This record gives sequence, structure tokens and C-alpha cells, in this order.
Amino acid sequence: MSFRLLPHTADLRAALDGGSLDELYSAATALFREIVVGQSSVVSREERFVPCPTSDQAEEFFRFVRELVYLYDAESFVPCGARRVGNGTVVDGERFDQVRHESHHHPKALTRHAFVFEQDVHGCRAELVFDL
Amino acid sequence: MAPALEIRQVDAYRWRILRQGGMRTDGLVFADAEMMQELAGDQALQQVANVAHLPGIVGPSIAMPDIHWGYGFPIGGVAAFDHLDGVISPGGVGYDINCGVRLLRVPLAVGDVRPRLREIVDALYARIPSGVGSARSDLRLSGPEMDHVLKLGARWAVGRGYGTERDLECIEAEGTLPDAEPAYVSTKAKTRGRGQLGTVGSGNHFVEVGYVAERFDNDAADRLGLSPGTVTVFIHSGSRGLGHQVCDDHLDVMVAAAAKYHIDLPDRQLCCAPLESPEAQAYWGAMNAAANFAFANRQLMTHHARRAFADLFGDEVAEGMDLVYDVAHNIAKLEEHVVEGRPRTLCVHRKGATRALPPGHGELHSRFRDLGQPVFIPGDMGRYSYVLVGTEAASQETFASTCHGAGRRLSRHAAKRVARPRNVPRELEADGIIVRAASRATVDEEIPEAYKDVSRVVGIVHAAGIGRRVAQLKPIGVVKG
Repeated sequence: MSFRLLPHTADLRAALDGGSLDELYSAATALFREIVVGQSSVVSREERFVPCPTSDQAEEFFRFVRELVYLYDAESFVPCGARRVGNGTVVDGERFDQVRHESHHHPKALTRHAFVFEQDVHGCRAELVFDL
Repeated sequence: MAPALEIRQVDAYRWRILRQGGMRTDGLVFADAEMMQELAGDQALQQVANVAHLPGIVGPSIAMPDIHWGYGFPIGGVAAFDHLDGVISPGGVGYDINCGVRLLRVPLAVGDVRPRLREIVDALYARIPSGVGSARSDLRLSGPEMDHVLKLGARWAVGRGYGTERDLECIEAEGTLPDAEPAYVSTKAKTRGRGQLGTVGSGNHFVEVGYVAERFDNDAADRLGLSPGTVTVFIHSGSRGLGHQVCDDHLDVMVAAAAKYHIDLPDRQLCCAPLESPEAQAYWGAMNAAANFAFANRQLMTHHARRAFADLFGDEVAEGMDLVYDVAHNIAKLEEHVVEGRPRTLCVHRKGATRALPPGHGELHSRFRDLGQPVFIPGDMGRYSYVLVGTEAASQETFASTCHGAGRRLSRHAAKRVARPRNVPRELEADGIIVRAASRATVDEEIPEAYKDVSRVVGIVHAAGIGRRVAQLKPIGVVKG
């Protein structure tokens, strides 16, 4: 799995790849962690459950990443890992710690603009634009 | 892939994107030739064309000279829709509903403040939380109190002692949008906003101490109390997480609504619904509620800015800190405009654009009616900002709208790369500007050269007649989110 930032004038655009859907979710979690705290170490102290209200995989993935934005804004929750389970995804992480974590970006939202989700026999890829 | 845009120059500051394909109208871009060349590299102009696809659009899809690539609508975009057969789109307002700017004048001269500048910047930083997870420990709204904020906006804050009746006279709509419906604001949105009232947030938001450096229209500047050398405080923030969540919640509804009402969208972020539909009415109530939250947020920040000055200069100075005006630059409003000689009720979307009502407009408070609406155009933290007033030309050509800021020219990533080997706060301090921020990353991303020169942007709107330049302000102290 991997992610990389793409050019965007005002906001933050990224491309993600995964050998499977599980890896894509892990890549999204790693991307989000990088966006909010850069290279700071994040450990698994708490977990959050993100339910999956739809059978559309693209929409499910979109809503999962969007929930990471919500958890960070509402609870200062920084993710460090994700596990897809039957009816949703369990996110591991901890609350932002001003001493140990470097503050980078604080995304307002995940936008639907230029959202890409593709899945085939080789794996999955996505493109995301965050409003900063 | 979209066909190449056909663009025709109208005059030195106007460019038409000619209607083609599914566009229902032309695009109209305010820019000079150099800016148009710079815009060729990103998707902003295509986004102007995309907006022109939406049903019920009246007049052109408009872009201001601070236009840059947004999501769905461009930042710096204006679009008006007929109230009967037009649409409303959360993407045309943006995530930060009623993000806006207010300006205070301080009864001190710049020479009085300079010796205590670091203290005042520290006091503002301490009193107005900024950055990640910023929340007020002295104010956490209960459920019923939150609904009062959403209904009453700045009036709620004044009623709680955070300001004066005079403040309300100097805010768009006197700080309360009457169509707010808290019931359409989700629990999640209210949770996000609960501790965020009176906080700056992050990104390009700020509290900035400056002074009146130059005046272009002495009479108008005098009317606004902007004497040469007068100290000012700029406050730039919006509806915080509450507004972001309102946008998110209603985008989901609008995606489904666009399909339900058979609206073809060139970009899903343009999702919308007919203004008369229940989906649109729900968004309208929630958006107005979030806008009221933003008015209350800036009012609380004003109160704490006054207390910061009181700590250092006494209560008399704080009591003399008058609000000059407060403008929204991310909002949709129902307004009356004359189109081709006929009065029409339109839903005007301004996303990164400022309302600029002309002199004589009935919606202006009597203290501004003969002057026109004050407009504030913040620049970057190292150079200058501008005060303008609305014009009749803007009323006729842009649905009484003008620009809202400098507009980014470097991506955040590129700005950080440029700033990495430098010590930006020290450079600014050498120029007489003290900066405090929650993180180095914020300062690096917001380096002055990350933005277009706002004087170019303002020069274009002034020359094109869609805003009249009144005064230039220079920063001396900045608190960044």
C-alpha cells in the first residue's frame, strides 16, 4: 500500500494504492495520520468504530475517510491503523498530544470533488481532495 | 475529458468563457492578462464553466481576480439562480459557511502599540484559542443554548454581554439571519461546534493587528474612522467544525436530490436541488443557522480581542474599539437584483467572494447607506490588506459582489518547501511584524509569497469598477490558526 500527494493550489490532494480493499483503508489511515501530525509517532491507545451504512464500496470508503476528519475535529483523535470488520471499520489511535505530536494540517472536510475509487484484480486505488 | 474552453478578452480586466456544450450561460472572469496566463495551469476556469451548467443560473458564472481551484465551484466564484426555477448548491457556499472578516478600529496610534506589540500578540494568542482541537474552556454550549446561538447569531453574543448594540449595526444582516432552522443542523454538527465558539480555527484564519498605512478616499476613510496611523484588528474565521459538518451532511442529501430531480452534474461536488424542494429548504435552514454560528463566533472573538487590549491599555481603550464592519465571503443569500431591466429574486452564491452593496441600497444600515457597504480584502501576513466600499457597477455586473482576498499562488506543499530553509517568523519580525501560530507548519504554509499580491487583485476590482478602494492597512502582529 502507498499514498502520495498530488499538486493542488489551495487544498490537499492525494492518490492511494492498495493490493486489496483492506490495504486501501490502511493507506487512507496512514495518509490521514501524515496529514495531521506528519511523521510524529502515533500509538494505539483507543479505538473507534466507523459503521458502514452502504453496500456501495466507493461510498463506504469515502464515508470512512470522512469519518476520520470528524474524529479528528470533534475528538482530536489521530488514527494509526484500521481493520475492516463485518459491518464497518475499527480505527486504532490516540488523542492528539501537544507534547508528542507535531501539528500539521487540520482538514475541514473530505470533498467529493475529483473523488476517484477504482477496484480491479490488481487491487484498489483512490484519489482524495481534502478541504483545508 | 471536457473540451478546451473558448475564452475571449472583453477589455483589460474582463474575459468571457463562451458558452459551449452543456453550459447554460457564459463565464465572466475578472483578471488581467498575466493572471489569465497563471490560471491556465489549474482547473479554476473549468470550474467557472462547470457552474454555468447548473439549472436556473441567471447572468454569467462569475469569477473574481482572486479565483483559484476549489472543489465544485472555484474559490472566488459568484453565481445567481432564479428563486423559482433555480437551485441551491452547498458546494457554491463551501464548507466554512459564513467564513468572513471583520475589522475593528482601536483608539490608539501605531506608535502607541509598537512598544508593547509582543505583549498584545501574546495576549490575543492566549485569549483566542487557535490550532488543532482549539476549544474554549470558559464556554461550552448546552443543547438549548446552542439552538439560541444558531437562531440569533451575533445577537445571542451581545445578549450575553459579548459586545454592544452598536456592533450589530455594523454586521451584515445585523448578525442574525432570520431563516435559520437549528432542527436541520445534525447532532454531529452541534457536537463539533459545542466548544469552538470564540476560536480562530486553523488554515488561513487569523487575528491580525495592523494600522492604516495609506488612504485612497479620505472622505470614505474618515466615515469609517480610519485615520492615518490608526491601529486596527482584523478577525478572519467562520463557522468552524459546525459549518463543515452542515455542508457534509447536506452534500449527501444533495447528491441524491440531484439524481432525483434529473440534474446533470459535471462534478459531483456541484450537487444541488431546486430551491423550492424540501432538500433545498433543509439546507437553507441549516446553512443560515451555521452562518449565525459564524457571526456569533466572530463576535466572541471580538470580545476577547477587546479584553486583550484592556489587559494592556485599560478598559477605556477596549470600550473605544468600534467595529467597522463584518462581511461574509462564503454564503448564499436571497436578494433582489435588476436583470435586463427587470427586478428578480435570486439566490446569490458567493464562495470566496464578498457582497458589495452600492450606496443607497436599502439593506444597508443607515450609517452606511450613503457610503456603500464596507468590504475588507485581507492580503498575506507580510504585506497589506485593503478596505473598499461597494459600487453601483458591482450591483449591475456582479450581483453586488467583489473579491475576498489575495488568492493562493503556491500550493501548501510548495510553500513549505520554499520556507523550510528559512526562519519565517524572524524574517517577518525584521519587517516589524510579530507572528504567533499553533505550529511552524501553519506559518510556513502561509508565507507571504504563497499568495498573489493582494494589491493586484484589488487594483483589478477597483479599475473594473466592482469595488472602490478606500484604505490600505499594514500588519504588525498576527495570530495564525
